[in-house]
Order: sequence, then C-alpha cells, then structure tokens
Amino acid sequence: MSFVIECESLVKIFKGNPPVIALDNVNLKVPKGSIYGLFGPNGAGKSTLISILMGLTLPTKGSAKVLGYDVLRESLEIRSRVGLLPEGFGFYDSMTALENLKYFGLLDGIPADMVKQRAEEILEKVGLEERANAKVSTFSRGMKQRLGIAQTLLKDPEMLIFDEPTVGIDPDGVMEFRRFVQDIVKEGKTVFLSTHLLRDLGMICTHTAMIRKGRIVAQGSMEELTQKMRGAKGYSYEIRLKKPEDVGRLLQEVKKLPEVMEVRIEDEGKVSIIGGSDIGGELFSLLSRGQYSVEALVSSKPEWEDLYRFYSEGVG
Amino acid sequence: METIRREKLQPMKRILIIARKEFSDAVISKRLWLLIALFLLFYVTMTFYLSVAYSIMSEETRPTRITQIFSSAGSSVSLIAPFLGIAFGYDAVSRERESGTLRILLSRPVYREDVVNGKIIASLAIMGITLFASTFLTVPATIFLHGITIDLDDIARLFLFSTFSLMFAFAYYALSLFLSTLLNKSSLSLMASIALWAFFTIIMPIISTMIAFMMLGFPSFANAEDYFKKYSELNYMIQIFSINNHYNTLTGPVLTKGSKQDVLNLIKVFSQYPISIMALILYPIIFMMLSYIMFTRREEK
Repeated sequence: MSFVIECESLVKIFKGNPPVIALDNVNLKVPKGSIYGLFGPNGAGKSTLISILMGLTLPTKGSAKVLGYDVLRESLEIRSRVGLLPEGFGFYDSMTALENLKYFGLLDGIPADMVKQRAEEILEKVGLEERANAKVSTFSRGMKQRLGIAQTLLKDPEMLIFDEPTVGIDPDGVMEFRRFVQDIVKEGKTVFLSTHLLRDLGMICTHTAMIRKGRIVAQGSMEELTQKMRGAKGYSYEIRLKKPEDVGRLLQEVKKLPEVMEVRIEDEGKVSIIGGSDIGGELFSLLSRGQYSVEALVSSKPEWEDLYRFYSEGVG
Repeated sequence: METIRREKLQPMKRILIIARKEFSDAVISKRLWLLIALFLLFYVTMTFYLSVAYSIMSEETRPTRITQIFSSAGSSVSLIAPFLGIAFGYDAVSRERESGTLRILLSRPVYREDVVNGKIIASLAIMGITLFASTFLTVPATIFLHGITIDLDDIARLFLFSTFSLMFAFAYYALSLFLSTLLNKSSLSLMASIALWAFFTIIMPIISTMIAFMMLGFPSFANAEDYFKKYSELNYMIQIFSINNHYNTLTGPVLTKGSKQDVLNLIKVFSQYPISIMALILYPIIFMMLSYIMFTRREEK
C-alpha cells in the first residue's frame, strides 16, 4: 500500500507562557485513494496538522511527507499538487467568483490563455456557473463552500485537504459535500478531511484517525476501529421479543452460552447482551431452538461518537 | 478528470500576478480615489490661496517661478504624503489574515516573499501615479493662475520633489506594512501607523525644539546667525531618526532657486545631504526587511 501522507513523531509546540503543545508525537499514514477523516474536538490540533502538511507552519520536531515531498524542504511541490480548503473559506469579497478563481488559477500555474475556461468549467462542476460574475460578498455560506471546493479543484490536484468543511452548512449542503467527496475519490484522488462533526462525515470515510489534545488516539479503518473497540468492550446485541413473558427464560439460556460477558433486561421484552466475541450465530441458533417469538435481533454497531469516546478515554 | 496543463512559475511571474491583482484592487478602491481627491483639493486650495496672497504683493516680491510656489507646498506634502503610504500599507497583510484569504493564497505554489513583493510593487506604482499625476496636473493650473514661466530646470526640480515625496510616502508604506505583518488586526495596525505619524510629524519637532532651547538658551540679536545655525544643526541631530526631518531637509533646497542661472545640480544635492538621502533609501528597506522576516517566520495557524 502506498501512502500520500506520512508523519513521523511530529511535534508542534507554540511558544507562549505556558507553551502550547498542539501536536504531540503524531504518527500518521494516509493510504492513497482513501477518504481519510481526522476527527477531534475543537483545539485538538487538526488545523495545526493541516498547516504543517501544507508548509504553512513548521513542525517543532519530527518529519512529515506529503505525496513523497518533505514539508520542510519541498512545500512548493506539495502546494502545487494539493488543493486546500481552509476553515472559513476566505475569498476576495469585492471580486467575482470567476475573478477569484482566475487569480488562484494563475498562481497555480494554469496558463493565462486557459485559466478563464478552466475556471468556468470548475464553476459549472460545483453548480455555480450562473453566479460566475456575481461578487463573492453576495454569496451564502453554502455557495462559498462550493466556491471553496472549486478553488481546490482548479489545479487538478492529486490530493484534497478539507479543514472543517461542513461547519455552518445546512443538511442539504452536507449531503452534497459527501456525494462530491465520494465522486472525487472515484477519479483516483485522495481526500483528507478534518472535522469535529463526526456524524456529518464519519460515514464516508474509509480510514480515520482520532486526535485529542494533539495526540492521535486511534487510527485505521472504521472496521478496524470497531473490531478493536469490541475486543476491549465486547460485542453488543439486542433482542426484542414479541412475548415479554419469555424474557426470563431467554435470560437463563443466554447466560449459559460461552463468551457471554453481560446480560440484562432493558425494558419489557428487550434483552441486551455483551459477548466477549462475535456470538451472533449462537444467539440466532438459541432463538430458533427455543421457539421464541422474536421481533428483532440486532447487533448494535457503535456510532462514531462511541468510538471517539472509547478511544479518547484516558487522554487528558 | 482531465489533466490540466500547468507551468512552473518563475518567481518574477508569481510576483507580477500578485502585483497585477493588487494594482487592480487599488485602482477600483474608494480609498485611492479619496486620496487623489484629497491631493487635488490640497493643490487647488494651495494655488488659490497663493494667488490671493500674491495679488497683494508688490511686483518685485511676487514669485516668478513655479518652484517657489511649490516650495510653499513642500511642508504640507510632508503632512499628507505619509497618509498615502499608510492607506496602502496598514492592512496589506492583516486584512488577508482577517478575511481568511491568506491561507488560500499561501496554499498555492507561491512563497511568502512573493506575496509581500507583489504588494510592494503594486503599492509603489499606485503611490507613484498618485503623487506624480497630482503634482504635474497642478502645473498648468498654477501657470495659468500666476502667469509664470516654466523651464526644464523647473520640471527637473518638480520631478525630484515628486521623487522624494514618493520615497517619503514609501517609507511610511513600509512602516505600515511591517505593522500589518506584526499585528493581527488592521484596526490596530492603522492606529499604530497613525500614532507613529503623529510622533514624527507633531511630537518629535516639539520635543526637538524644547531640547534645542534648553541646550542653547534663548537667542540674542548679537549672535542670531550663529545661534540659528547651531539650532538647526542640533535640531537635525535630535531628529536624525525622523523620516519627516530628512524629507523636509531634502525638498527645501530642491525647490529653492537662488537665481535664474541657478540650475539643479543633483551631485550637489546628494553630496550636501548624504544622511538624508540615505535615510530616505534605508528607511523603507529596513522596514521591508522587517516585514519579510516577520511574515516569513510567522506561523499561519
């Protein structure tokens, strides 16, 4: 597997009284072609990490490479291959959308005779073609987000970095953004995004890292993180019976199964079980054998928040 | 997605792209037109005022050369020109930081020096056009109102006066640019720039005069010439770090013509006031260097 971002023992300390440790020994590997989510609360160090990756801030210690280029020595190469959407989508408000894109396009190295056409193509792609000649000051936040995405695409980057892209965006905008990210990855690009809104973007990420107080507390695919959490906290199941009077019998039988760590009655007709391993099959057989009238057998998948809570425990 | 043809930009090309954008921004900005209007208003008022003042003068004492008229303006330009520099410098970087455009700009394949250089080139061009245009647009009006003659020497003197004024305005631009890279807020940068202008323009001359009087005592009629020579030298020394002082020192002799035969001698001007010439050159250089250092070392979180 090849990686587009590789951070080794990355440390960033902002001078001050007292000094602020923004990144604490960060090791990170982002696979090519992935949608990599960096999740963490405000102030966790997400934007600092992005700044270092783009060469906007220097690391105090450690090393980082983006697309194989060193962030200290080859940041210009990185910036010519990576599109960044910073938090807040800053644009020149007195200029039109097209003028903004033409300016950024020229700085990206698009020849002057091609830049207008390229900017118009991209505006069409993000659905802003009709607002091309409108001043950015008249744009809504959602439109600015689309323009922000447009400016990242101008140079046809190999990788896109989005810093808190869905903050302040309405649900339709968030869905649109998710679709866009999934489409862009199909074109062979890698997307690295940071957010504290786990619900908004967790579902589209193929890989994730969780950051808290500057430390990466977990990383891997959603599946890996879930497995690891289940290894420690067990597998959760929920059985709902149509006949609540059968609950007592079920409780006794479930307790006899190997690997069952905990069983409890939640409310009328509902039993919650935690197994030390995947006991879904055993539960299914037990319910069939015992001729229970089952309304549902659910293997509850942890939410992003559960994962984050689990992995953040003990940090700070 | 199709592959886009892109070229690796040479540093000068990157700088010119930024300069062109900054220049266009400045040309359509209200602040430029406000300043041009201020300059024209100032020159028109001055010309009108002088025409009234000269009408009551006798033929012999009335000025006959345009530089004599402009010499009356020299001290007033020293009040206004800094505002031209401050107007384009105080928010050059801090505004980009405040609006979030700096991060997008710096995420392109450009160096921070390119951004500063682009802004400097554009501002220098705009300030140059404003100063030279307003000075030379006033010439025909002055000739018409006062019925005076103008020759090549006068034009050369006005050109040098405008050049010094541009260098002076540029020094204030560099100072405000530095403050703009140092401070996060444009409002703070503007306040600090104006405070420094007030210090050099109003406070420092007062302090200097007070010190000179304290050191030399009050003048007597017997040694007045000697006293004022010493007074001027002391004043100059006290205000050695004031850019206003150096500007005034240089523009005075440029606009003063001893006789009709007196021709502007650049070597004489430059050799007579080397410290002032150096100050006008070094002042912006020092603050530009400080701006580069501050901007390139500053972390954009």
